[in-house]
Amino acid sequence: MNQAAPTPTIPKSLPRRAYDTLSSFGLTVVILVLMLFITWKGTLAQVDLGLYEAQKKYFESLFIIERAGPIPVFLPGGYLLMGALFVNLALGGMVRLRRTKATIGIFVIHIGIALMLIAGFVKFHHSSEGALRLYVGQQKTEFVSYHDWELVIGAPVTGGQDAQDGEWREYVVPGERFIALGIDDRLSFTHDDLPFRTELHGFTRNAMVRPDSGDGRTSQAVVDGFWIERRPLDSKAERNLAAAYVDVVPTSGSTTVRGLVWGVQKEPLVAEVDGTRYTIDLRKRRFPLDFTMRLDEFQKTDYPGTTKPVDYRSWVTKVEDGVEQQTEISMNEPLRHQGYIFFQSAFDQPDRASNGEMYSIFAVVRNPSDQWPLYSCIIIAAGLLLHFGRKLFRYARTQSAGA
Amino acid sequence: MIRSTPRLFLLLSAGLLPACDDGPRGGPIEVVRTVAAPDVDLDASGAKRFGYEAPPPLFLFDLPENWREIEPAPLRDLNFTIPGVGAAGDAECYASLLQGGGTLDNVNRWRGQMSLDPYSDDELAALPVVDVVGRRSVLVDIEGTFQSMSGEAQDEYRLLGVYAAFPAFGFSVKMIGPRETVTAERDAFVRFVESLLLNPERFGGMPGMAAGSTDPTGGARDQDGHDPHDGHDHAAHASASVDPSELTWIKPAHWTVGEGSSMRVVTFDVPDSPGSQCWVTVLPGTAGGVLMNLNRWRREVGLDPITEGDLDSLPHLRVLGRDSVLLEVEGGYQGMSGPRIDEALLFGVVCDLGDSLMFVKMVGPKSDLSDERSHFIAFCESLSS
Repeated sequence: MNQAAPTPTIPKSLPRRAYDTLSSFGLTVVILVLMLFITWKGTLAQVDLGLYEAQKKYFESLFIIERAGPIPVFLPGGYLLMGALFVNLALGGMVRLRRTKATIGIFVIHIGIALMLIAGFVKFHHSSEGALRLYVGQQKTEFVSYHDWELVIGAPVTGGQDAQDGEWREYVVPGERFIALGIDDRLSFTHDDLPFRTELHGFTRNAMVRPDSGDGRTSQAVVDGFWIERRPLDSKAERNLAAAYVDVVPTSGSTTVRGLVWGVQKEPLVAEVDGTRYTIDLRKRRFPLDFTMRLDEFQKTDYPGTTKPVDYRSWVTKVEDGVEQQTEISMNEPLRHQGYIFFQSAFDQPDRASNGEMYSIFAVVRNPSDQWPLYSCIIIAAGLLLHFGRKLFRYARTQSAGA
Repeated sequence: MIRSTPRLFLLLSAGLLPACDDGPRGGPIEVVRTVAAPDVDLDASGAKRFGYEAPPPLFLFDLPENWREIEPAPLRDLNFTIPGVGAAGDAECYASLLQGGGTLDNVNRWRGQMSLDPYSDDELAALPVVDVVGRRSVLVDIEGTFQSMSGEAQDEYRLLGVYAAFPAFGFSVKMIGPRETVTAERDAFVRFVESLLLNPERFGGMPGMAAGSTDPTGGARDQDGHDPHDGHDHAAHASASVDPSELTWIKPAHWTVGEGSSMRVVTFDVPDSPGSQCWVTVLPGTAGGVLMNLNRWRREVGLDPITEGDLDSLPHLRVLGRDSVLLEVEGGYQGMSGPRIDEALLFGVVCDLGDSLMFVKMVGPKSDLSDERSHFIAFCESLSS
């Protein structure tokens, strides 16, 4: 008797294998275990690195390099894992999922989780946060980043139909363009309006600027009697003070102006090029607001018999397109407007400059996906209700049919 | 499936890498904003830009020709040496901003240092007067055996001194040295004290001064209870950044207000621990600085000094809104006055208020004071002005 020839197995194509793997439950388990591991590692690392650096290293990275003794161990970072989880969820939890009445609840849950991951992605790439400090009566149209730097070249506005006395133009280089610059590397920035290029070198993320003692002992370059003393990074990232050497190189070939810039310098570096004076400043990044915020009143309430605050709140006026709107901001009641959120963060003691006034500090966040986690939770809750509600209904019906 | 997963991870990672390159990037500046002209000093020196500009001097004066100014020291805001005459030794002259005491107390303290009996009020009133920092001040001129702080006796010494009383503090200028040297410099001393001014750039308004008032003291009586002297266009105004008379606090319930001294804002006793005291002092001016005073306390218990770099490793408190170092040391304690305490515990906080230093110090037997640490810290943190 002849036996039928076995059906030849058609090998799967690469796209098919990729699809099967990326949508597999096994991949989900691997990703979740790895996320658990780096969450544990990142939490422990906060003790030494501080919150900001630990977050950057473990949760906002593609890869992490850990060491097991002398042996480097490469691990996927949080960004890569969450990206992979999103793809896995989309392919396995939504595309590949058999959509029936029994699985509709699970499908909705997966949509909610995907929305949560998208919210994180949007926040990472498109949000900004910082602080706004206001004395009573003071108004501002920008807030200042906690951690990010910017290099700003200031130039007087001259000529042209829109030229006005007292106007300046700021040419801004965001910190992400130079924050990873090596100590021995050099970057050059240019603009068509400026008759020079600005060369940045010797950049240090945390430094003190010291006067040269003249004994020749410093190994760093001394410029105008000062040099940059490199310091280890502080675990509290907002305490790090960046510094760098700057060369202003005129395109006309005239003498290069050399100087230092430092994150807490009281006055900017000034470079005169072809008869015009330009300022170069290294400062915390500023984010312009689309409206003006004015602090009208600040109130602090202390625990009886002490100077420790139990509550503090601010009354502010938001001025937008000539329209004023007054509102109160307190510790658990932020102001939300146009994607901005103003939290009552802190206050500070008076100093001589304020003639005894206290000032209020607001934490400001601009996050387009601010409310998406809330929507995500609502969708997940709805999916859970659908799925388990259906199961409960079927169980109850089975029980009553059997009774 | 599992075997292919690692390879696919690598493929995925490789695909993501080029898209996420955040490395340093030079080239054209892309962000340009128009703003109001900033309020900056385009001619600022490097020292001003980086915060190394020397502050204006505390005092303005005409320095006599052969006097040499030296570094300030604790309780010596101005410090000079004067070369000796002939075989006589050098003299020293120093100015101090002091908290409390009054003219009679301080003059009699000097007389005690010269092994002389104290003055009465009538004797004080009979002394000659000079103008010092816009104040009519008695001129003390005495000779005797000088007893230094170290206990060493110096015969045939002469002391010249003036004391100006302000509402919140006192200001003294004192010259001490061999009789021949001080005698030769007497006229120069008088000219020097009459040229002295408290620099208005370093000091704010006098406590209690009304806006627009021509009275440099705002009508407040000085520490001697006298009406202020006016008629000086350049009357010097001075105040500590914190007015000691306006300090408030929350004292631990079991502490009691004790008998202090003219130098202290307040003194507390701990009834359960005889020999233990806590007190607060405010000294206008630099008063030697934080580190020098912490090391002074360390020397009082026989410990070696620490350096500026050691300060970061010490505990810090928030006192009057300022970050302040907490010193906790133990040993055999011998202060400027009072009996020695063997096996003492000392808590101390030096708070830099800008134009003055505030000292909070607690010392007593270690066996009693070890339970007082939290009370001391709470007291320091409760201080308010």
